[in-house]
Amino acid sequence: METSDPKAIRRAVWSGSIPCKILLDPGESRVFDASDPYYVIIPRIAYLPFFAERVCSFFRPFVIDPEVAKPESAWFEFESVPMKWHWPVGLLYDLFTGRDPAANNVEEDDEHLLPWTLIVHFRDYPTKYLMRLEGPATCHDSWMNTVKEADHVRNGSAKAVMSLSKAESTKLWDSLQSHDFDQFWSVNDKLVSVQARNIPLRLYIPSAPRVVQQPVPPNLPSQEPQTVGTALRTLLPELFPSQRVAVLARPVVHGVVVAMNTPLLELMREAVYPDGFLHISLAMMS
Amino acid sequence: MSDQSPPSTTPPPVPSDPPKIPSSTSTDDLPVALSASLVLTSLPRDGKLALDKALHPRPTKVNIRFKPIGSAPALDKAVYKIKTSQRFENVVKFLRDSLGLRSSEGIFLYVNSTFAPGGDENVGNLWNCFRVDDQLIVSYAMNAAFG
Repeated sequence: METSDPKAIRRAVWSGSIPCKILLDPGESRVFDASDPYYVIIPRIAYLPFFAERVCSFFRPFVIDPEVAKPESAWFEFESVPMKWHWPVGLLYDLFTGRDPAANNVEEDDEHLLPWTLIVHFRDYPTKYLMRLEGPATCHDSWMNTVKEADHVRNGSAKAVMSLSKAESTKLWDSLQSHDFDQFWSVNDKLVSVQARNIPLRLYIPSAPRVVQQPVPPNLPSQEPQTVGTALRTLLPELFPSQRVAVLARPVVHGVVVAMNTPLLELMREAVYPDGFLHISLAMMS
Repeated sequence: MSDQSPPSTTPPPVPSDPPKIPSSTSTDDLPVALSASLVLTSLPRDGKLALDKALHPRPTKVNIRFKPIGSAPALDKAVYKIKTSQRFENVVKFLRDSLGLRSSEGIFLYVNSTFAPGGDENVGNLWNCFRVDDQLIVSYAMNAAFG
């Protein structure tokens, strides 16, 4: 990585990706011996519906009832767990594989997890677990609401997002879908490079999964900067008995363990997801 | 995009004992994937206990104030109590039921007249982040109100 590039971390976050192998649910396949897998590299910051149309066209010839094979009826499952389409793919991977990026050893490397194998279904939408997709607009609307929610946390209102021009907010969404770093950040920089009142932070505890979201100011009462460790110690004292050392769980952002002494405001500005939140999943240490 | 003024800083007084929004009985958050469960079963005892505590915080109750927008009908009471463990979709369901909406009728709920939370968002998290005078202010409209 070219360290003199001030955008190096943002670029690295943007280009992070997960090789995926997508299989059609055997119960929906009319091919006796199972259909071919679909291989695709999915950016960590992307959402599953971005790929639904391609996946759908690929599997349509194999589906028993091609009528149901529509992008909005597609849903994805990892090890029998339906994947939320409104969470970024990288977060889904980090959270649901439970992978501890710091625990790599030679005998048991990561290869058994890659490509990440997902099963696509077009029938029996799991409405108990997933919100319905009524078309491409659903994904956009849900994302835009999250962007506003994050802005509300940052500034106490969503004025910064609301005051973007129509062209700018369209550019944000379009460039996220087309994976255009420069276009996206030409707008997003205005939203995140502010003196935030609070950091939009979501913590994901594995196993339920439970999401913890509370306003976290960028500085401590002592005026020292809030760090990953001080925030975790405050929000989840059971799992983080120390603010300096990971004892029971490690904080993971974009598949990487972040140091406990990382200032949270800086981390938010560089490693924020496109929806405006800093999503931190926890990997339990065994 | 519309730009709304922030909610009034002096809302009407909270009734001393607001009615309760019934809790959803379903405990249906996502199950654990096998890979993650293998990690979890191999945790040391300390880790298991800590995880269990973090996963099941003791629920408390918070107040939600409903505000109709435009032609949306008002509720009999404006303020209700709800458990922090509930998901936002339960708030939507309660409002739909209270207003007697048919399944074909849409309704749009916003926190602080700003954003529509996802149905799976936790009420306690929303209250923690966005409360005004200790109430979560939820406005609602029959048509999309805030672009």
